[in-house]
Amino acid sequence: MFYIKPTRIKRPGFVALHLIPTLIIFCAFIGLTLWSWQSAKVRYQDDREATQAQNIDDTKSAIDIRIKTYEEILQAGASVFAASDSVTRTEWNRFATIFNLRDRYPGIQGVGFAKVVNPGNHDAFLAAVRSTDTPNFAITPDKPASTQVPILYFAPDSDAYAQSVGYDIYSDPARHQAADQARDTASSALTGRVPFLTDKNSSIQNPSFIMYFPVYSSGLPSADVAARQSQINGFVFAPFRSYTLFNSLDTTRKDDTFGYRVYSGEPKAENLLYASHAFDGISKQKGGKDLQTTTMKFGQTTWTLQFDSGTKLGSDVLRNRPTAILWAGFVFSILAASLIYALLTARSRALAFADEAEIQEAKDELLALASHQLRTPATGVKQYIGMLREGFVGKLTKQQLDLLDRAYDSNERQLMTINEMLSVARADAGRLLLEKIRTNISKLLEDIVAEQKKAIEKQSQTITIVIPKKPVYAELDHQYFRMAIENLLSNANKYTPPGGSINLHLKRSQGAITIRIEDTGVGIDEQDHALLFKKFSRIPNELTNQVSGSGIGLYLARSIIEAHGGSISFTSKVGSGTTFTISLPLPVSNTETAVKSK
Amino acid sequence: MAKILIVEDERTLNEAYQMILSKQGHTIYTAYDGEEALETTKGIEPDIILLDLRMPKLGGIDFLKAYKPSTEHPKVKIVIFSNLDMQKEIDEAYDLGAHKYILKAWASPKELVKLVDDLLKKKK
Repeated sequence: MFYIKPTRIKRPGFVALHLIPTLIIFCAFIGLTLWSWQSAKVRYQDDREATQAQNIDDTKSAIDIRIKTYEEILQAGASVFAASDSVTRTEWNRFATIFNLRDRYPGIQGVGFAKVVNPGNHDAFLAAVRSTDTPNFAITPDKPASTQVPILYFAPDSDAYAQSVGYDIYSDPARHQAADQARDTASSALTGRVPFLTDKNSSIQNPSFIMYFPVYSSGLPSADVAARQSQINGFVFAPFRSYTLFNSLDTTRKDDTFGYRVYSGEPKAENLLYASHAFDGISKQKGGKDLQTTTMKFGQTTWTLQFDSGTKLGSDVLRNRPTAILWAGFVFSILAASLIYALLTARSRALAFADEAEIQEAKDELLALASHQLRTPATGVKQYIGMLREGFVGKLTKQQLDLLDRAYDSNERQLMTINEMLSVARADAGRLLLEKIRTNISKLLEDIVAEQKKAIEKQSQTITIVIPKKPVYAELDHQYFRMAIENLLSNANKYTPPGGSINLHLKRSQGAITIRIEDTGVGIDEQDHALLFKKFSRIPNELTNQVSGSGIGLYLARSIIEAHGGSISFTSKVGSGTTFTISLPLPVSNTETAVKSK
Repeated sequence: MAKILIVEDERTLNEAYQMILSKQGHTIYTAYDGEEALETTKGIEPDIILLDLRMPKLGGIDFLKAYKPSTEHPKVKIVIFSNLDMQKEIDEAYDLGAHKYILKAWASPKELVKLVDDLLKKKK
């Protein structure tokens, strides 16, 4: 004995066919988005760095130029002393006026001259100065035993700086150091952050520094330090207010994208010379993340510069591009994935539909072929028995005819069963294709009853038909509708004992066409009512064993009537007979059309 | 009486139809497939062709495509005489020039005779 194993065809499921490709596409686009986003970020960062570097260069360059300019002014001042044996206050004021310092050189408070007074020259110096236009000149603090460097001149004159005249710059270590640096290097030197004399009484913290330039008695500086030290005559100097100076440089940003601080020496609070107005805001924003530090050297003095850039530094387009790419990429990825998903599901549906259509067509073909093969031998039997019955080969005896009739009827029943099976299979598959044409249903029912009459009367039953006087029309498929009515009449015939009656009523009302088929048959037990229209069910009653049937007739009748848009119901009681009621929809209009030859 | 061509591959049926129709005095021609039928129609123009659909070598549909009844033999009445009731093939047969479709299983000898008589009446 052999058996056939079921074939398990594994088809790729929903996940493999739809989700995975969709996810792959989504991830691919997200990957591309992230790569583009990263590239845009790098590009923006490069742009920021380049802008920052440019800003730093510009700032340093501007500071350098300005400081050098001020150095040149002091050099010019020193030249005044080199060119003359003595320079008066008036001459010094004239010198300062020519330069129009405060207006043209922001930050500089003026230019002054401090004279080196050695211990041995103290009294002579004082006498000489007092003999000019400053009779009350005094050195403060006065230490005749030490070398002192009192401020002799300061221009432009102002009340604030008038009190600095006579001040010994050597008394302040920072000034002392810077002056000595200038002397020894024969170039300018800067103090660190120092308070002005005028600041001591002021409550405003205003960072300042002073630049010194040496004036030698020989005019030009000597080559060696010792000679410079012995030949130093005094110092031309200029005090600066840092904020005024740095704010005048065109390097600060009002838009808070770039800021800087300047320290004299180490970047400590006490050394701060300047902080641009944007710096603090930027610093708070970023917590010193991008802080860049560099130095500038002016002689022996080193300034420390700190730079920082706000988040809006650089091109707006480049700055916004990464975010735009991220959002656009994300949205596009979702759209692309959704599109792919929609295409895949549509394709699957189309394929499934095509598969289903193909399968259904194959089923139809199989059914048709099967019924064809079953019908063919029965058709042969029908022709040959038919020829005998119908006298094609001569007259037969009554008995011979009777036997042939039975054989013929049996064969007809077989053909009918094949037809019903095929129709049921089609109805189950939803493939019951009706060709509905406008039909005179009154005539059709009369024809069917006339055809069934012989068989019915053979059972000693009577059949009557009641139809309205005016013909009733309905949209019917002749073949299938006839099949349904014949089934119902056949049932009535089978399950009505001899002597019983079958009545067919046709009625047309406002809403529908009603056909009632009632018999005086054995009836159906209430407990079996639910089984009546079920496929292959044969309800047991006193006649069941005597009549043949496949159990699909009523199932088929109901399928056909429902396919026509109608309905079928029944009432029945054991011993009282059964009444089937068919309801059909009315046709669209009321005129008759010719029956087609199909 | 008419010239009737019976195209049917099932010999038993073919002979039954021959017997039934020749008894009516018609001249009967037979073919057991479409190829044979085409060969036969080269020599004669029948009044009626009883045509089966499913046949070996050349089936009924392919015969109609080759025979071209609508354009080349408009006077010939073609009846599809088949036990295969596939709507698609029936529609195709009508489109190719068939006049009627009869399910073989439903036609008794008398009904076949009546069918032929009705067709001949229409022809006249």
